[in-house]
Amino acid sequence: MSCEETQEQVSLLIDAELEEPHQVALFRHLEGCCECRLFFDSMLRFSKAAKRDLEEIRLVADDILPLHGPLPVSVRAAGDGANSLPMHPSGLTGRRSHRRASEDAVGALPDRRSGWGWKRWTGLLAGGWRMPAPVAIGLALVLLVAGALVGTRISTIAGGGGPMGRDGRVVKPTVVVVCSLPEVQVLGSASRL
Amino acid sequence: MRTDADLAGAFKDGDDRAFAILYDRYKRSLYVFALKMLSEADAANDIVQDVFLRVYEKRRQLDYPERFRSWVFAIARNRCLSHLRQSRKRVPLDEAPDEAITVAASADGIEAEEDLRLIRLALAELKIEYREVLVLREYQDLSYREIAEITETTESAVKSKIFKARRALHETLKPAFAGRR
Repeated sequence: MSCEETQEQVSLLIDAELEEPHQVALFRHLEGCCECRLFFDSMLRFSKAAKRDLEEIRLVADDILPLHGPLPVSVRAAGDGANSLPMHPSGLTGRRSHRRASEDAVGALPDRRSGWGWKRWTGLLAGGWRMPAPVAIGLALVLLVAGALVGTRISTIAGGGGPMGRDGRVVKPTVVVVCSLPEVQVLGSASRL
Repeated sequence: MRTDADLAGAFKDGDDRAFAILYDRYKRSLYVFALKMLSEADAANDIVQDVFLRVYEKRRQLDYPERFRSWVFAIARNRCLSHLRQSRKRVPLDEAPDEAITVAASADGIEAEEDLRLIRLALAELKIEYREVLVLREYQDLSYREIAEITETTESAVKSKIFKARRALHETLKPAFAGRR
């Protein structure tokens, strides 16, 4: 086998396109040919360096390429939903971590905003405001207690009864509920009628 | 994970979300390709934006969604060749390509850094027809068939051209590599 043929086969071997029977003859030639070994070594070093070069450029690319590119607004919006990435005010991405880059390399991330998780539910409870679950639950309880208290007093007053004061007059309690979401204040006061 | 073919099909039917995912998936690969073809960071960035704009505009012409990768790289290649024709610019061997990258010292050591520097220069010196096939093969890991589709030639022609490109690269690198064996 000539050096020309050998080097052609080296090229195929690096691309994983050389069939096994040919590989035996190739390596036999390489054992005794310094020039072809040098070519083989050179191409292996090139492949290795190219992989490293690729990784470095991809990291730099994350910094300089716009998140969505010069695309129509509808596509930009779709992109926001597609990977939930924060949009820098300048329209450019910031440096992301290696993990982030590798995730992007294999595909876009799932839409984290599309689920009906606890945040969505607590958001609804709070009338559209986002707030932590404990605050939302506490708020709901306060509203419940305040509602029950008002209902009780109203029924008491409507029934003609009510607590008697020391002077024998009926005390009409007034519960003022000031509801200003997301903060609720229950102001209780009793006025003597 | 949705395949390229799925996404490309949906995109062709008007799904902008699918297009956004494809953009995110391919922008880096296309940037690497354009940078290696042109050796100019700004031009490579412009090419990537231009390619995706064209892809979006020409979505109806995407006859084979399963060949989206070849299609998008073919557009990128045409844009790069067009840019090179306009600029008629070649990078001198003694001038480092404008890749806006600083090679950091790593565990691979100084020799690996030197290899990287030499290879960047040697690649930038190759004839464009050799450079494009080598970049598509070594950097993008595309098959001979895909490279043939992108460069509008046959698989055997691609195989032959990659070999010639490697020989030319070897001739450039040989003095440096032989001296450091």
